[in-house]
Amino acid sequence: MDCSRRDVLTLGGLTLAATTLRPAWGRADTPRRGGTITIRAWDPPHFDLHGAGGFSYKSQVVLSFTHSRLLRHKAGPAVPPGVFPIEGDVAESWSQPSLTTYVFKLRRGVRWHAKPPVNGRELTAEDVRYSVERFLTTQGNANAQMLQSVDKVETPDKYTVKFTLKQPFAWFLDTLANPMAVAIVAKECVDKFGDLRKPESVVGTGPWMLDSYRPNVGMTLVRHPGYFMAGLPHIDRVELVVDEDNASRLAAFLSGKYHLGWEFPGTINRTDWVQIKDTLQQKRPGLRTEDFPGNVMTHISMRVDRPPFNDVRVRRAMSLALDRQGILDSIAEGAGTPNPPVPTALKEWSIPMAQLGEGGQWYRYDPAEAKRLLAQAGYPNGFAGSMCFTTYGSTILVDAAQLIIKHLKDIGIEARLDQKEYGAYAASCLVGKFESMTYGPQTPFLDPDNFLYGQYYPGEPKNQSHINDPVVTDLLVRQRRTFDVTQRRQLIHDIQRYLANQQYYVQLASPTYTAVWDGALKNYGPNLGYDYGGRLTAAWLHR
Amino acid sequence: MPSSIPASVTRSTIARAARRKPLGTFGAVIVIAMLVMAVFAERIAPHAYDETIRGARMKPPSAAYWLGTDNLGRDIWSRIVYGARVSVMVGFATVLLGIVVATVVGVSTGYLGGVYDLCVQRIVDAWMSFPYLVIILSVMAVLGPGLLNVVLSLALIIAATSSRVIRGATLSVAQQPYVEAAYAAGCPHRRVIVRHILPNVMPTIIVLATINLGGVILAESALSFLGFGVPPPFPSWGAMLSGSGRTYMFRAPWMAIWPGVAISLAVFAFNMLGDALRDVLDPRLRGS
Amino acid sequence: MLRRYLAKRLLVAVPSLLIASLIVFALPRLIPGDVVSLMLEEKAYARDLAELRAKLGLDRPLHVQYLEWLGHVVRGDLGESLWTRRPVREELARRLPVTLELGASSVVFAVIIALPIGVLSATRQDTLSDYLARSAAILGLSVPGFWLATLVIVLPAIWWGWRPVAEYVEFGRDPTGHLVQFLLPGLILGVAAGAALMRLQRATLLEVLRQDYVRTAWAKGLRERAVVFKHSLKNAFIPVLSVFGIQIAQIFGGAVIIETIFGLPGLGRFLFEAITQRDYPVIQGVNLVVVAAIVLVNLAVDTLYAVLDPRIRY
Repeated sequence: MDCSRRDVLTLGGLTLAATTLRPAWGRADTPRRGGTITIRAWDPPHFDLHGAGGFSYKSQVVLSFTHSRLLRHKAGPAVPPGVFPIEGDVAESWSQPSLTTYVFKLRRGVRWHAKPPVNGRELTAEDVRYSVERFLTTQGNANAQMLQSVDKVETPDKYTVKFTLKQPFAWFLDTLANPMAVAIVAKECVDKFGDLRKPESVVGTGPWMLDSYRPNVGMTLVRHPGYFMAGLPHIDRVELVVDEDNASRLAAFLSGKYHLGWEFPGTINRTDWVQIKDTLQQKRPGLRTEDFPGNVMTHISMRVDRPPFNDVRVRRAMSLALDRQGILDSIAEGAGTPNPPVPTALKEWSIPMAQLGEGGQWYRYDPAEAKRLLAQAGYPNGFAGSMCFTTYGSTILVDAAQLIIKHLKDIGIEARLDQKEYGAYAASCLVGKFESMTYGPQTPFLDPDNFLYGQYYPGEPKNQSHINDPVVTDLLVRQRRTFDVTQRRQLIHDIQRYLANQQYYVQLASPTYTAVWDGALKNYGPNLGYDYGGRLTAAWLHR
Repeated sequence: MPSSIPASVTRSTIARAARRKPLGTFGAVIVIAMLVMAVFAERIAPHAYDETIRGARMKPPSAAYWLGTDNLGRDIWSRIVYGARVSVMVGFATVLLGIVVATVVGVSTGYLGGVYDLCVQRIVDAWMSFPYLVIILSVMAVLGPGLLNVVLSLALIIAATSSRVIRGATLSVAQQPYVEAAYAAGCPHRRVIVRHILPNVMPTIIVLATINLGGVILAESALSFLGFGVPPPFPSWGAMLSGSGRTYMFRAPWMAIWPGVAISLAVFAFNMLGDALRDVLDPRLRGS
Repeated sequence: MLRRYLAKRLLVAVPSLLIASLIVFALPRLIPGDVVSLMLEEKAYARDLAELRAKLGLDRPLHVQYLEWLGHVVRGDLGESLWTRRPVREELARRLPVTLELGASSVVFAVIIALPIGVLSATRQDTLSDYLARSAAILGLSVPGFWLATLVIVLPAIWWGWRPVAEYVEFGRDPTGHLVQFLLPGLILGVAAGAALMRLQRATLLEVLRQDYVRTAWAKGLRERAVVFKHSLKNAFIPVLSVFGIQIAQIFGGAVIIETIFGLPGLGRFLFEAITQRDYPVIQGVNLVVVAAIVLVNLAVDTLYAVLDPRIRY
């Protein structure tokens, strides 16, 4: 049983098996109703997933408890982190009659929360159609391009939804299951409130209902008694706590307040973890943990459309200059994984570093070779540039940036750290408006397409490096049309091999995530992504 | 009634002050030490502030690394020494700029009064009442972020707040019988201001300048906490404490303790020195 | 005379508020990176940016936007947040009391710290008790507030698994708990404000004590305490008052760190978040209200000046 393997891995070497395998564990196998789970969350800018700014993880995390999608990612201890099997959410079954048509059969008896103005009526195909249409047409919905392939949505009957796409899109089902995608919303709410930004308008079909919202303080969610999965959720109340200071969060976790690690997504930063694990062992002996690679990947982007970065030797030299393991040692207690262009965390799609072929050599640390390459490219004495940067409020990121600057300096590249406030950064460097280099983290997507297409397709705002490489463009389009998973994986691997050799972005290693959860929380499996609600739906609290 | 700034504080005065003002002397010693560290940082610091020493990550204080090393393997003593340079530069530049503006505004409005005072005070009112974050962000908007902007934005805040206090002091000095008498005797404004007003508000100015020197160091650390402090690679004490110092406070407490001690010592020293200077420079005190 | 002074000052406040409103409107727009870029972040296609800007009415000429906003403000309407669409006035009403309570708590602590130490160290100048009292106060000031707050929160958690303030408690839910939660943050803010107040108190009191009329009183053999209180404290209060006005002004902006660490949903954090989100109506609304409040506080302070020191000309 996968569960038991996890129990042994749990607390990776710092706890005795006895603490987790005590006799009470047998009874904990039976689900129990009730209890309150307390989780550190973020204050959402507003509650409208489709509205401008609603794609923020701050909103998505909250609404993962209250709203349903057509499909969802399977959750639970049996699903290893980094893998996202698809299962029906409000869809009971689905089929793909042609390359561009999908038909979804909805579950019957899916009820909205018993709140005005929807008052617990049954969800119908029309609700799904309305939601997709709203998702695609709401002005300022930054996620709308996720479904840009959709041509029309029809409802042949009350429980059937038919999608017709403009062109084949192999990631369509993954996109629908993605927690950032279309949440199914009720037209009555939009009609009554104008949009869905206010907390009163949070009415969904999900396992919990928003009971109260206290700006800057927190949210309380209560069990949705009419949830369509019989008997679920087990947990009665969810307290989402807005806690904006790390010391305060750390103290709260030590005192037993939070059931999950306080960092996204239910983890604890390695730096904090190493410091408090011994104390935690005394204070919260039942805690369980699991380590897995994080999908937040930082990279240096650069203007590859102009010198000096248009020379592949310069980019390779930069990659060789970075002591990736040394940086991990300094900022993440040495725990992390190097990343090819698709982060290692996405187990099914990332190419193993050993298979990168020719491009693999640029990921080693070799400043001498880097200097040689620079000289070959015509910069024997290096060059000067600037590196745009924002702190995201993270000292770890600041430390990493300082080390990168240092490593580049070692091979003669004098990069001046150009620190910007986040808003200024978002309007400029984040979307490729900079002169030289930028260093920062990338949105932690759950599929390779979002990582690759946005970063490498010409003209995409996320294409920070200004890449226009016909080879990549062609591969990107082709993989989107390849339905056979093995073939598609092959293509994704080909792209990564090609990109590794090009070094359009110099990718750094991702620190390891240490997911931590309270010993009383059973049937919970950590994973990447915003879907806190999905991961907790079938979990229960054992006391 | 002595009415001029002491042109020179004689040697004996200093000696006596040192005896009578142990706290102030302590402050002066610290401030001088800070200045020396700032000026001769290259000679004093055993390592460069950004030198990452291999194999020396988070070493506790030892003979090799007096104050230990940080998580990137940098020598903390060296960073404290270079940090003094950042603090001195930011502190003195900010206070000088701020206090000069504040004195001009404060003394002129307090002394001249009338419509001029009313108008200027309205601008000061408006400026002072802006939470300083708005001002700092706006200054960054015009110039881009960096060391200079921290100086400018903090100076603007000091100027506004201090001008209020200096005006208050000027008001009460201007009402003194001897000032009124001097004015009645036909002394021109300029002479009254230079001979009577300035010397008498000088204690207030000095007190303010020293409060603010300490205050700027504190403010910079607060700004660092919010992400608007002196950006890397400059090693500022505030950033050392609020950044990695706070992150590693349990495992490597020396990473937080020493920058914290540096900040507290500097603030304490400026304040004590200010108090003592005020006592020494106070014209009425010298005679007693 | 006092009434005329007050009327004059109130009249002058109107144009000064107008100037302030202009600054309030212009400043947030000078900050690089606008609200629309933040709403779309890395998915900011140029066309979407322009459309969204138009939808929010941010594409119109600035003077049109300013006059429209001013028109609404005059009618008591501060607009609504660009992000949440909640009315700014409502949000202010929710958060202002939190910051005021925090401010009041810190002022109380500041005065409790400052007055006794200030008086003691001025009347016992250059004695051991002067040194000790002053050192203690200045030491309190010289530790950054965020560091004090961090220690206060983290150390008990490490030692005893206990955390002082867990989550903001509303007054309605638990009045005692509500008030208690302001004690620690108030003390931390108050220590800093109190030390500054104490130094000024001492400096001014020393000055006053050396004035001829006080020396005369002293020489006449009045009991020391009577001298201090009757003659000195009243005059020494003038600069203290003006510092007080400044402290209140900066509590609005300066409390942001303490509010963040202690999880208090106050105005400082609200404004800070609005700035980072470029929520123009919120920044404008909060600033305008704060500016208006401060103008009034300053007026009150000046009036008190006048009452305390009748020699000040109106």
